[in-house]
Amino acid sequence: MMALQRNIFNLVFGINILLVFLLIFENSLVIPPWLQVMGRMHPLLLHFPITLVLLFLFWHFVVVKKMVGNEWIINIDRWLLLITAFAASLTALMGLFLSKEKGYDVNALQLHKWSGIAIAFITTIWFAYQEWVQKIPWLHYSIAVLSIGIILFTGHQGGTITHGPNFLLAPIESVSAQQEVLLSEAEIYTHLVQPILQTKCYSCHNDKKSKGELRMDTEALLLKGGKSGKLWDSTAPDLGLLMSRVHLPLENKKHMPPIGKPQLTDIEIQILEAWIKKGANFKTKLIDLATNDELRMIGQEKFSKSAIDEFDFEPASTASLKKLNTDYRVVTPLSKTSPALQVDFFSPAAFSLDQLNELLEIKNQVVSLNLNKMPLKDDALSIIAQFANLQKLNLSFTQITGKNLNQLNQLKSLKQLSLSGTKVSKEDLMTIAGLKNLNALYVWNTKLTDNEIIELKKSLKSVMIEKGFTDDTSIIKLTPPILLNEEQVITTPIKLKLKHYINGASIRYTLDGSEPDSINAKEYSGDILLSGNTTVKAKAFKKGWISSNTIETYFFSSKFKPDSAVNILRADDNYRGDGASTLIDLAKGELNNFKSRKWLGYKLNRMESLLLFNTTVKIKSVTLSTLVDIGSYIMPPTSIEVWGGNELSQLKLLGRLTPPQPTAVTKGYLKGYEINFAPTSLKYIKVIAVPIAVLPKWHPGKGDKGWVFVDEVYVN
Amino acid sequence: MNKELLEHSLSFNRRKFLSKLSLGIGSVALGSLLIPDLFSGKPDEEALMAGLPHFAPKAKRIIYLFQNGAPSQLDLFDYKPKLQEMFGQDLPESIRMGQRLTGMTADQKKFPLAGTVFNFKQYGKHGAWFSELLPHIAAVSDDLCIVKSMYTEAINHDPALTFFQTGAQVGNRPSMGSWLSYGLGSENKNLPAFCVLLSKGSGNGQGVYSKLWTNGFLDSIHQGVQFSSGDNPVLYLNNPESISKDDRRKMLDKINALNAESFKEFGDPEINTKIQQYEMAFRMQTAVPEITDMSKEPESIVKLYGPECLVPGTYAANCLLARKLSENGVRFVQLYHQGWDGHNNLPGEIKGQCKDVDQASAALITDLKQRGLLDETLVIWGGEFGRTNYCQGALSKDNYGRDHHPRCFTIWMAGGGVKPGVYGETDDFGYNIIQDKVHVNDFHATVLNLMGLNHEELTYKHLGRRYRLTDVAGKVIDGIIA
Repeated sequence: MMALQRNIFNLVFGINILLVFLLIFENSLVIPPWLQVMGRMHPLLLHFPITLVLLFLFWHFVVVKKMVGNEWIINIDRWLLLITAFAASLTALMGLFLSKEKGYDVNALQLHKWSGIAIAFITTIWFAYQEWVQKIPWLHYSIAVLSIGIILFTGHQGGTITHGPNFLLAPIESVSAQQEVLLSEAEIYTHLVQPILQTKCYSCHNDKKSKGELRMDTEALLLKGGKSGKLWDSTAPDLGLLMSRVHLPLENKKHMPPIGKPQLTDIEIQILEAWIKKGANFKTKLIDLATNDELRMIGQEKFSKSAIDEFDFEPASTASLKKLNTDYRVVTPLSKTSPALQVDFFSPAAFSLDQLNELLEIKNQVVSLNLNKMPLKDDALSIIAQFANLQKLNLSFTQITGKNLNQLNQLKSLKQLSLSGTKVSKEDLMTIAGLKNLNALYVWNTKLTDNEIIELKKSLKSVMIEKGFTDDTSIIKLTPPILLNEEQVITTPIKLKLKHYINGASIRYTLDGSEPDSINAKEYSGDILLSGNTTVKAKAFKKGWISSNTIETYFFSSKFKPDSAVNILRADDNYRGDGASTLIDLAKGELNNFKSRKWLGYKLNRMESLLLFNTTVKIKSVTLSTLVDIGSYIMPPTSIEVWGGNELSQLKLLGRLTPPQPTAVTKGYLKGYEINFAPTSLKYIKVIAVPIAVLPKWHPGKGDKGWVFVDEVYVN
Repeated sequence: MNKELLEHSLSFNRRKFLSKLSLGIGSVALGSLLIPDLFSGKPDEEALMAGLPHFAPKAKRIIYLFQNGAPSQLDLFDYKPKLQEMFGQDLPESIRMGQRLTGMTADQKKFPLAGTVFNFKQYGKHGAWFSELLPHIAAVSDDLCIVKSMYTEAINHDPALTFFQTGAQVGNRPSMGSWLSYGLGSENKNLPAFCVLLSKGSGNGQGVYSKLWTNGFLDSIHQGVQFSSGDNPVLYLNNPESISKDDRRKMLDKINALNAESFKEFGDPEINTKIQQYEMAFRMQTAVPEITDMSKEPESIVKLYGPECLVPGTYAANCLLARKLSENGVRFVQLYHQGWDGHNNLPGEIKGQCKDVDQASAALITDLKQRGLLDETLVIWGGEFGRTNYCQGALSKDNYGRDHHPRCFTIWMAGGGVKPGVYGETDDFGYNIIQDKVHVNDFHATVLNLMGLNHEELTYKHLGRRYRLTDVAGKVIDGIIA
């Protein structure tokens, strides 16, 4: 052995002696802070002995054997064992320092400590006596096997201390073993407090071992307290014995849990304190607390909000799910992790009872079944009754009569039942009183009377019975009829098309501008032809309803379409449409878009346009179609003149109109002005319309000039 | 997609496994690291388990009654008598604290406080305040979870609306409904998982664009399907004239066979998506007319929702349709009602808006409840932000306007696992939140939680990073979960 090796070995030997010494005086050991730092390097160093032990064994039993007699290989072999012993000893020493810090589970620590020390001793001794060990094969091999075993065991124990019990295997163990608690069902005592007592207190205060004459394993015994008295007093500042013991300094003999035992965490102390402060009730649920309550917030973190593992049955097979899912029958799990299924049926036309029967394959998994509007009859109930875990059943608007409804009593888990729009009676519903979990029953649109529902509530006490909106006696107003005619200009007679969407509503109309009433006005039948300028007024009536508002539409007649048109004065640059031809294209302008090219707007100029016919026509009226939109300064013309004749130079005034001006701001409307005159034969018509020069005082733009907007001129 | 590519290439590796064992083991081992469930070996199960909630949900479906344009919380829910006392006085700077303003009131020299002109009363067992404009909603207040402490970051409609619908102020992120469709799939295979219904009120309106129901970077199958009010509720769904249902079936069979061929060759999952979509559209041809037919609704329903519910395109009709879609398993029904943007003439406009929505919104809750569906359906009612406590433009005794206000506003939810009551509180001025703030991200996290989804786990990898509806923020608000 060369000098360097010898020196290192001496160091290793020294560490081992120190280890023995420290173990003997372990109980009076106090670690100074600087040594604590050394101790905390244990988690770093521990990886060396693990690797080195394995590496050495590999070298020793594989490489060395293969390369017999190679001095260099044997030299490395020796070095490896020495470094292994050194690392194992140092790690064990530091581990011992670290173990003196608070907070480790004493029981788990013991095994790790002794096995760690064993590795240090074994490797050290092996190095010291390696020649001798080499000579006794059984010893040689068993010491190797022992080393591997102990190093693996020590490592695993260490992992357990650091990462918690069962750290290694947790990912492959079945998840369903963990019972998840729902927030909605969690109780403060059972789910928050008791688990703390179980892990931190029961070991000394149970039926076998009741230190201080205290047992904590039942509620009654908790209330009874121990030798020193009751455990808590919600009104005391320190909340009584239990909490004051918890808060004593760790060194104090009365501190609980005693030194060396697993201590309460801050959050556990917070839970115990809050629970006692609230009166240490054993039944209070978490959701009964205010949302900002500290316990509730802790619980919200801890307990799932959803019903993930509410169900204790096995999930259905993927094959069944795939097979049973069709375009009209949709089977889906409640969530990715839930074994529970919901089934919805769509499209009544595609429904058959077989489809329900097929579902029996997954009868244990279905918790929600929606058969809304499906044409199923009473015989389906015996199938439905087999879905043992059903919680929600929708039979609204099915054809069940209520007969055999009592079969549903087999659905012990049923919480919600919808029977709206079916023929069920009170007597039928009385037969399902056996559904103890039922909490909501929907019976809208059934023949149940208010009194019957009151009686029903007496026998189904915990059930919310929803009867919904009943068609009360209030009288409501009809909507106005709707005019379907898209054309507003009549060149040849057209059919009047009116519609009302409410069944049984009749439409009455007039064509002469008078108000339609329910007696004199004609009832609309669909065969009315319109010709000539016509004001249609229509109104809807129905017995038991208030009659609608009147709608009013103006149809313009256009018998003669001019062949061309010319603007004598230009329209405003912003509203010049497609020039003068806009006036004779029979395209109506829209009410709420005067910027469209269907309108011509005039402000500075008056409208002065010429309509030309290629051949002489005999006419008796000209209609100017305009827009009135007072808010946008668009007013009726102050005067309209129609001139006509066969020669451009000899036009005569045929008629003149001074439209009435409005007196207040109203919504916009379309307005036609008809100028009648004695029948005249002519080729040329000139139309003049003058915009208002000064807007009246009541107008927001008083004093300004107003506009005239024209979309069409009709000649009849 | 990455996963599919990997699996595709790995399917060759399995072959190599036999010939080149070492390489095979290496790559399969690597593969198992990259695709964690490679060795679970049950693609069937995987397909079945995709689109399942992470944990058992409280709500299965959502109906979102979006009040587009932002209703004034101060005239509907958040009663502030102090504003009436201080009517016309300037909003103290100590309250406004430099809040960013819109271009519409930024130049205003004064911010005169405008107390509501409407009467308020307390209703129900939670003593929630409602103005006289919402008698029907007030009557169902015991079922409502009223959140008075919502806040957002955006101050203009489009970003605010986009934020509420997609979790980001800029466009092109998937909409809430798309995320739910992606996370939970469709309940009824004959209808889209995400449907959109529009209606317009008489008040000052703001645009609604299809980007609000976009699938963004998610698969196109998750896009919202807009139902319109005419004879063709879903555009291009009907067969053209002279094509019968059988013809269509035959055509689809042939197309599907071709598509299946090409899937075998290329393994592109979009091909399968396409096949599924064709098939769903085919089934929708039967399912949609059944659902949109209102003529069989009993008269009591008409009275419950109000007679307008039979007039297609109205808010009431959309509420009734929403109930029918939801009842038939549509995961997310999104309504938009326009016209709440009361910058001017607010008292007059809001009356009309409330008349449109009050009865039908309440009716939807009653209707779901009487069918036993309310507990599994989450109904949400609210706009994209609130309105200011001060007047925009000229203030008079009975007329005022209110600008956009992001710092506090009220929404309500019902059914689906929410806890009825009033959550959160604003200061006496109705300007700042003093208790229990709820950010838009928090709202999304909470809604996903109610649907059984962990908002941090519902992710989609796009452009090199994982996206969530709540992106990098949001916490579940336990106080509103029952």
